[in-house]
Amino acid sequence: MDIVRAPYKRTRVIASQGEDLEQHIVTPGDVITQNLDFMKSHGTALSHDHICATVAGAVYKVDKLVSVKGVNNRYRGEIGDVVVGRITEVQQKKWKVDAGSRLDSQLQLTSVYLPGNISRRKTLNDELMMREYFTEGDLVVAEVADVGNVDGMLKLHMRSNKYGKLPEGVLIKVPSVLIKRSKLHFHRLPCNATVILGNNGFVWVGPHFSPDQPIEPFTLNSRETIARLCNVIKALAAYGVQLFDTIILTAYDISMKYKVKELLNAEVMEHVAQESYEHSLHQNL
Amino acid sequence: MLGTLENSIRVRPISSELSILGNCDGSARVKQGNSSVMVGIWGPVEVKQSKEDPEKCVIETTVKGATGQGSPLDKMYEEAVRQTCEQVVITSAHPRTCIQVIVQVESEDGAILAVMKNALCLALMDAGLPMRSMFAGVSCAQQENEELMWDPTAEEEEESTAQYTFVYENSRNNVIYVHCTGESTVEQYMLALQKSRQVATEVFGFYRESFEKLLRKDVKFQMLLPPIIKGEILEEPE
Repeated sequence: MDIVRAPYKRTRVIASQGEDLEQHIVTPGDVITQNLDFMKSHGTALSHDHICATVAGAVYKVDKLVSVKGVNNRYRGEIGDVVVGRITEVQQKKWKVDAGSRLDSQLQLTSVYLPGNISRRKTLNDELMMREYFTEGDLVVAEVADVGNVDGMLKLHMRSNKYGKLPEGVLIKVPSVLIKRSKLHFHRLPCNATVILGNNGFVWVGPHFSPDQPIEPFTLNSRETIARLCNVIKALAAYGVQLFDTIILTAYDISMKYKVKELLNAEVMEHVAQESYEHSLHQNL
Repeated sequence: MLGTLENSIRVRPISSELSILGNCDGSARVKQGNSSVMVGIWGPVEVKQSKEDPEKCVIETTVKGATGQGSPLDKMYEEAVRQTCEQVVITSAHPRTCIQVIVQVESEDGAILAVMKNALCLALMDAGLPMRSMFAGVSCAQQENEELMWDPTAEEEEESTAQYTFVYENSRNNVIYVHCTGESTVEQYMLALQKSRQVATEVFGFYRESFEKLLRKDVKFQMLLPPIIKGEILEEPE
């Protein structure tokens, strides 16, 4: 494979819905409407008796609600979302978790199942043991229990066996809009790997694991599977394809004709993304 | 670009690149002639407790010169950048957070403060931070024969008797920041203030163009639901 190659132009894989329409694009400070019967939503503000845009983007309207959607947005959580995050700090009775939102999320000691008795009062001893459970740099998976209404800080909980610390694996960060919402975000794939699609855009790929069993050492095969899955997910995300279990599997199968490292090539990435997207369209029809 | 100015006003060609840094929330590079500035923005993110403000977000700025270590002049630029940010960004929207702004001067050839402000505005928009309005920086130098020269090079700045940098915002077309050095009279100052506004209007047009280009090729943006179409006027709610 060539290491150096000519610049390659990315083409759009997915069919855009508003391609032919000229969108109503605004920049900060532009007046959207003077009619104050409309309700302001994200990206708009009242200034001098007009509704003005505060971000650059396209104007959306749902009945009376006007909003502006731009390009870059940090993840704003919703209750019930599954998120993958990294512990940044151990504080008194709580952990701080970086889950890609505006503020670091909070994980209270009381909202975690500790080993042994499934729900009990947390004692001082538990508090002293906090670093034993999760320490700085650990990857965890949790659910959003609450979203702060002033600052949007997420409060996480782990009151289920499926949540907890993640073992060795790979973390991929993709834009959070690319994660398709579904009932299941934990996928035990038949190719002998587990994928967790966090709603916050953090995707974890690793070997199968269960909380009470020790993890088997990596084999070369499972390493390769994980690396392939990672490259496939990156390829899909680079071309704006929404991620869910079947499309990842389809893309994985399509990618089998390439070597793992060939999947880093832009042409191959596009081909994989394109084919799996078309495949998923046919299945839905 | 910048074609509708009156004949006496000449500016160097301006170009921009958006979303160039992968790890930032927003970034932009603006080039005006041989002056080039890159701005990266992280935010809103967690802030140290000692700096935290319960009512608004804190803005931290760093300015790095093209060469050498930090100078007092860089500190002045840092303050200038922070002031403009605080005026324009709706800081009350994200309490208890911090916005980090890093300005890197890549090459310096006059009008550097104006280029910084232009790059800053594009980076803020790219980061999707809520802003009251856009802003544009305009530099001009007054020569010995009292003629004004817009967007001067370093050489022209050296020869001039006074330099002005104005920053205009687009919602009411007001001046939000002024920086002057040298000697001039009130009349000359007023004239420069008036005429620079035309340049600012052109720069706003340039911002818009660069953003429309960015939005059209952005995959995430195209995935969102169809927005309302241009020309459809929001008059009566349904």
